[in-house]
Amino acid sequence: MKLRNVTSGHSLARKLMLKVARVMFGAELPDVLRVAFYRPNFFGKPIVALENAVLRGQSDWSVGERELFAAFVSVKNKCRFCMDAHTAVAGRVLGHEVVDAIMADLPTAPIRAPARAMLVFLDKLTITPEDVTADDIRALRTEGIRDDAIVDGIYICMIFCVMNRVADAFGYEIMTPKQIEQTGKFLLRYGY
Amino acid sequence: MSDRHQSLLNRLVQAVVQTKGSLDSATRADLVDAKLTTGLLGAFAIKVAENPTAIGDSQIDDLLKRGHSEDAIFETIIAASVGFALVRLRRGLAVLEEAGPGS
Repeated sequence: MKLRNVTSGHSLARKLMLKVARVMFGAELPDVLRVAFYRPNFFGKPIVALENAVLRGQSDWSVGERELFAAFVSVKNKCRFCMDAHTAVAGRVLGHEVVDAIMADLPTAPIRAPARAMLVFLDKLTITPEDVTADDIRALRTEGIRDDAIVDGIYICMIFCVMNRVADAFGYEIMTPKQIEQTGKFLLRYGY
Repeated sequence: MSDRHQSLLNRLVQAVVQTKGSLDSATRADLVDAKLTTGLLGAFAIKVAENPTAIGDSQIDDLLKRGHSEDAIFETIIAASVGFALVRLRRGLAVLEEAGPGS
């Protein structure tokens, strides 16, 4: 990471928590945790609360679908770190071959029609938000997606547009296969 | 349209703008609103939003040499990232509203 204070300037209590987390994680901690633990009242705590509500709270979308949306937005933003992390979680639920197929060719991928429609919408909202119109919302409703579920998708886009920028601006180290595996396991088991 | 996540979003924005920090709250509010586009910090914020992978050590060093602390850079990265994302959130929720009542 590019900033020393975020790498190693944590309070003593936070350093201790990071050490405990390192033991529990079973591998070197991904950089995202160092940022979350640095001045947590500024960013870490409120973003984690929002992530837990949107990605693990009640929703018409399954956890796997929401993690797929997170991975997909990260792919659109070309954020390797977040793509690796959330592809790992989504793959554990939906099957890695399914997630790979979605990322390779969305129109032919084996996925529920509402989730496919949401991914098309998220692509547009992420890359060209100014082009999103009410017709795009009507297309989602045609697939039977309720407005609360549309709101959940929009929030996932927002959260990962934040996290992707943060990851790339701080220069998170790309995770090793072991870190990716552990991240998938931990995010699925414990949430954010 | 109901927005079940509004209070947690407000908490995030409030924390980024109002928590005691290195940059003053007005500057952080401008970053969150994507309004800070001039000066060294403004140029840095634009890079965070538009091309974050292109941020190199030299740009960080330049900010440090010109008197910005590491905490100020930390706050700029977070606030500019939130600003970038809020554009998408607001647009998505606005078109949902425009589409009229749904289920």
